[in-house]
Parts: sequence; structure tokens; C-alpha cells
Amino acid sequence: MSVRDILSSENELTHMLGAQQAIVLSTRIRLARNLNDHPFPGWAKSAQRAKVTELCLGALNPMPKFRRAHEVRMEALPELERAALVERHLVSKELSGGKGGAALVSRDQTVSVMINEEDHLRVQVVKGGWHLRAAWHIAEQLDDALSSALPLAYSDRLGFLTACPTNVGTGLRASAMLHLPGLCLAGHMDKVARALGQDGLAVRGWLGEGSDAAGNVFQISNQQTLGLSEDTILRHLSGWVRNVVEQEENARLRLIESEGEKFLDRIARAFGTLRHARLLTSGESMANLSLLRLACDVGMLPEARRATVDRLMIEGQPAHVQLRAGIELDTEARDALRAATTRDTLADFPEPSAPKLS
Amino acid sequence: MNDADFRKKGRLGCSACWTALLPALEPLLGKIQCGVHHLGRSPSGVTYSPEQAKMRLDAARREMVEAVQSEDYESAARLRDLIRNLEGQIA
Repeated sequence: MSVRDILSSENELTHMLGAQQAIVLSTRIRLARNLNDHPFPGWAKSAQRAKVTELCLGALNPMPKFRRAHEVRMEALPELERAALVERHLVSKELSGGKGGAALVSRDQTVSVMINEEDHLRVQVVKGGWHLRAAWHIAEQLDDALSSALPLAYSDRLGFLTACPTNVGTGLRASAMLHLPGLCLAGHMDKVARALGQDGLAVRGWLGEGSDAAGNVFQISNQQTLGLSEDTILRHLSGWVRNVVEQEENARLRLIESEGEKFLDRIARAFGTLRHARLLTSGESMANLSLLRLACDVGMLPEARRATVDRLMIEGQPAHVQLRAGIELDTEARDALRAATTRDTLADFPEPSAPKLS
Repeated sequence: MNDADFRKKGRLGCSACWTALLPALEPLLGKIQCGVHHLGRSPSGVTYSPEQAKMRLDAARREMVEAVQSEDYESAARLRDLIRNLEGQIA
């Protein structure tokens, strides 16, 4: 099973197969777990990492969730394929560049387990839209299956032991990916990020730690993992996501009401650029697609077109563009191919009309 | 590994390092985390010491109040079962 099969098969995130929400793109649960009596990956020798990989795959492969799963060994993959998996959020940058990393991705791509990342095991559950509890239930079941199959590093006092003190305890990172063009256009995003930060939540860009907020997409997650139960962590995140979604809805309403024709112009210009540009950088493409997505949300374009816009956002990332071409491309060739694909995809889109406020 | 090794990489070496370095790590945990005691789930089959069970019971009661206040009845129901279970263990 190749990486191309993973990238080309339909799933909740790229083809909107699940129930979707306009503002919350996806919900993610991540659990960090380690094996007892084995050095953590950052300090392990390659033979020790290889042993851990075999132990973990041996425990995971028979689980029903991983029937016909995709098994990938990072070092066996060409750089472009590794980069594309990172762009899909199926593996992290750290795993893709590290030694002895492997991943098991469930057939429907909702569950993936990274092996030998910062910790021996990083279990990830991703659902399209806002489905925190559903994602958590899947993670909980997997965690029970894991702890029955493998001796996990756990202490009564500190909980699940991790390589980094920022993950110890529950090892839980719960997050939501939000599309917040309204708050960004209104210039309120810094204020919102500060408020979240002060209340124990981290705000990051589209590709997680260290990435910028391309396309006005932000990831909000809990920072603390020890001294809180999973329920408390999930409830805290939930409360804030509801709050930010409400602020975004209000920001959109205010923009439409106050900007009037200027708002329609913004969207029309974004549409024009995407429909006609011959060279599109990844940043320009994301910024304009974000506005098109907003247009679908507020009735300026048919809502059913949102899935196409989302797919362009994902497939316009540098490694995806090059994989489509089948060869490594320099920046200009990449920008030309991205522009061509975007023009073709948007060819049958109707012109944006005035917003419909509900 | 020792404290200096940890400071170099910011990562612990294995589960035993946690026991060895805990006194040195406690101030850091106090700063970056919400406490220095685990209140989350445990691997299946692990039972709590009486001291742990008591601490979890106190936390679960606090959470139950919060869950009811925020009208999160799914969590409240789960917490009610957990509280009963922990009370049983302590008794």
C-alpha cells in the first residue's frame, strides 16, 4: 500500500464525507504513550527503536480498527511522500525527519498511530467537523486495547510517562482546527489568541507547532496535561471552541453589514485571482481560498462548493502539487501547476453573489 | 541520565528517569502543568492506592459540580458512576 493510495483515497477530511461545520474544520485527539523498560526514542539507539517499532506494530496490527490499515516506514519513503503525509496531518514533521519512525493509518484515515516520534506511541484520532466526544471515545477504546496489549510507562502519581514534561499525565492533546477569516479581517485574532493563551490553550497555525496561520486556519489545543482529568480538558476546550465560533459568526455578520459592497469586492477579487492567475504561490492561494470558503459559508457561493475549496487548500500544498506532477518542481513550476489546477477546478464555479444573511 | 542530560535535550530518557529526576523536575511541573498529581485515566487493570483514590474522589466531586453547572450531563453521569466506584474502593 503506497502513500499515493493514502492520498488519493476519499476520507472525511478531504471529501467531506462526515457531517461538517462551516467554522470547525476538524477535531483531533492525540494521546502520547510509551513502553515501560525501553528508552524513549530521543535517547534510544537504532536497534532499540527498531525493537519498539516491531513490538508496537505487533500489538496494533491485529486490532479491528487497523484492519487493512496503511503501514508506512518513514525511512523507506521518498522525501516528497513524507512531506505530503505531513501536509495531510497524518504524521508530524518530527516523525517524518526522525530516525526509525513508522506510522499505521487506519483504512478510513480517522485513526493514525505514529511510532518513535517524540514518544514511542502517538495515537491520533481525527474527525471532520466538531466531534470532540466521538473522537475521544475512539481514542479511549484504542488506549484500553493498547494498555492490554503492551506494558505502558505509567506511574500512580504522574500518570502516563512521556519524553517531555509538557505531555506527562494524561498525554492528551485535544484540538480543533478553526477557519477564522472574520476575526482575522476584523483584526481581532491577536486579542482572541491572547485570551486563549491566558486560559491555558495554545493557538497554532495550519500545520501545528511553529507554522503560520495560512488561510486563516488556526489550531486550538489544551496546553496542560497533568493535574486535570480528560473530562476537564475536553470540557475546557469545548467551552472555548463554542465561544470562538460565536465570536467568528459575529465578526462575519459585522463585516458584511459594515463593509457592504466592499465585502463583495473582496470576495470577487479573490475569486478573480484564483480563476485567472497563471502563477499562484501557496500563501496567495491559501489566503484567497480562505475568502472563497467564507463566501460558501455566507451564501455568496453555493454551500456545496465548500468541499471543493477545502480540497484545493489541501492539494495546493507544495508536496501535494509535486506529487501530482510526479516529479520535483522548482518554485515557479509549482506555482504554475497550482494555478492551472485551481483554474480548472474553479472553471464551473458561479460568480459570487451578494451575501445571504440568516 | 542525570539532570544535565535532561537540560541538554529537554527530553527524558526512559520511564525510570522520571523516578530519578522527579525532585529536580517538580518545580518545572508546578510551573507548566496544573498540578503534580495525575487525575486522568489509567491503563486497564491498574488499581489506585487509597491515597490516590481519595485524591481522585475529591477531584471527581469538584468536576461533577462544574459539569452540572455547564449543563454537560453526559460527563455528569459518567462522574456520578466514577464517584460511586471510588467511594466503594475507599470503603
